[in-house]
Amino acid sequence: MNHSIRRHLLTNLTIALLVSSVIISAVTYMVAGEELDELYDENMQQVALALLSQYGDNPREQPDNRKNLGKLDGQEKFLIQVWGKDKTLLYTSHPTISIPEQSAQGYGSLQFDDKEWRYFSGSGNGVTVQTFQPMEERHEVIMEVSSKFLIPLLLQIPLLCLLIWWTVGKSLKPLTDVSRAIGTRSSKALQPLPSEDLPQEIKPLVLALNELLERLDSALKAQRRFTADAAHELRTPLTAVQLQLDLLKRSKSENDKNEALEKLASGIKRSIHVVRQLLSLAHQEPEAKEQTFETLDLATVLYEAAVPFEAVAQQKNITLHVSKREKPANVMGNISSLRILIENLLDNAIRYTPEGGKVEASIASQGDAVTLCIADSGSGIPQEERDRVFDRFYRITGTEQSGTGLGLSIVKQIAERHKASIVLGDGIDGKGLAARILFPTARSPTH
Amino acid sequence: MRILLVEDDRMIGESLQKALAQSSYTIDWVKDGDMAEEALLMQNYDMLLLDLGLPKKSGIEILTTLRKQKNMLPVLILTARDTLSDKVIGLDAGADDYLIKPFELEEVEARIRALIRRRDGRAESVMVAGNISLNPLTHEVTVGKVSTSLAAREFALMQALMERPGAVLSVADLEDKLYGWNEEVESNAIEVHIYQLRKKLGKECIANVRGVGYKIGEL
Repeated sequence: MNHSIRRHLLTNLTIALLVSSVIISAVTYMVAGEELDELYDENMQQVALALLSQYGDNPREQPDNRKNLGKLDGQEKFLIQVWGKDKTLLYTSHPTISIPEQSAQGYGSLQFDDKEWRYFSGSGNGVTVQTFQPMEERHEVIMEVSSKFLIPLLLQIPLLCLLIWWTVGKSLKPLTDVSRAIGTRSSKALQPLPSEDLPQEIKPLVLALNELLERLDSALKAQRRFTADAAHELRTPLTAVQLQLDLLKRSKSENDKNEALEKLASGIKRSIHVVRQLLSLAHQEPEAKEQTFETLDLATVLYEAAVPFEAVAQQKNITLHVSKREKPANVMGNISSLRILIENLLDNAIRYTPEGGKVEASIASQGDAVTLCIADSGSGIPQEERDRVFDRFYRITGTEQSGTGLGLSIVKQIAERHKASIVLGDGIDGKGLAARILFPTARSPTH
Repeated sequence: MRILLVEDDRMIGESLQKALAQSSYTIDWVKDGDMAEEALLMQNYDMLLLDLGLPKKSGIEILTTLRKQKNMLPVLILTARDTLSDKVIGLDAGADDYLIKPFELEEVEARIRALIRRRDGRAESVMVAGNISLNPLTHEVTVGKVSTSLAAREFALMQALMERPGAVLSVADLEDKLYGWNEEVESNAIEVHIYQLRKKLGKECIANVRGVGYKIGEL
């Protein structure tokens, strides 16, 4: 369906004009009819009264009626009858029209010869004078008057149509200008459209469009930055893998070969880790698909997520302590996202804690907040860098660890999706780092 | 040939150092900008392999400082930044070449050879001194018509001597070229290598300048 505001307006306004013209004519017909009725009635009465008084002065004189034919030929013509006392017709203006004497005095209506007649009957001086007029005659006059009104009303319609067509076209011009401005743009041009001097009906549209363009622009920029960053982050481990492969090819002794293979394997593992982190970051993007949220016991999630880390911690001779769950700490969350959050925090804690250190993970439930705390005795994060560590690919300078710089960004995004806040503080015994994630408590399901 | 490698990624640094050492380069590896500047002050290098995204001081800053001091050291940038503007910035800051990660070892080595060749003003990669020629690609030395393959250190020593034929290098100079920071040098190591080379190529190929050092023989 091809909608056109212009055509739509034109059609509707024409119909409205037609209907209103007809209504005006109808009203005119009714009002004029009433007025004319009154006028004619008065005429009838005056004629009747005039005749009556004439009869009083000179009852024998009769009006001349020789020229009268069997019908009334003009609107102002009446049928006039004069009746005597004994119901004798003394005079009739039209002898062929033999309407009998009416008993009622004053105005009245009657049917005669299949026509509706209006009459006035008056008595005095021993005679009754009756004047009659067929309603048909009156209607004709009323019709004529009304139609004279209707013609100019109908004639204005085409004129108004032209005017509407032109006005609508002119009013819509800013809109066509805007659509032309958008139509001729390349997909990369996301700068706002000019919004000055726009009619107030179109301005909100352009402003809303500009807002959308702005959001699109920043989303696109973020996307581009992310792609560039991701490419950069992938290049580093891939370079390592490539070099390790080259070394493997060149290695001559069995020993060299084994060492190169081992390094190659760890390089590949690192690349996989980067890819995985990038993917989970992409999954946690605010624009990513909907996640199902349910009431979860965070303590259980922590306990399950921590299991694989026990071996890793043991390998580094780190004491990993996960506090036992006592009572359920319910939060609304997506289980796989929460698991990723916990894994990233534990991975960071173990990665940045030197051998022989400690990592503690616990859940505390207080009032309307559930706090997940993962603390370590590692190198910690200097106060001034605690805000920046959530930036993508940000890594603290001088760290020997080959992290991706993505872990805390992922944690931050997951926390934001869960309406949880993150507080970074000092870790175990004032050393290292403690990451606290404060979740709003979920109302426990009704038992 | 002594090269300073500035690279903050441990895996890449380790692999490059090991691979280039196998190809008879002497590599000093540092992980941040400050250490790179210190190393450049302390030691004479033949080349700088420079990453750009470094802790403490960026590669571009190091490069700019270097060129301000009129230091002509050949610089090869090794970076993951691949946009045209990054390359232009790098080259304009004074880099001689630009290699984008990930790269293959062979390419790094080829570019190192090319930069050294350019530095020495040679059209061919083969180094020539009189009747002696040295091929940096194959590590072969040809005296007259006889070609001999050299071990890594022997090649490095030969290369050092042939860089500027006629120039006399002391034992300390040669040690500098052949041994990196973490390598222990036996007190007579250079003499041992010279002995080996003379045995392979003939006594006249390396001349002894009494009390000063060694130079390539005029054959």
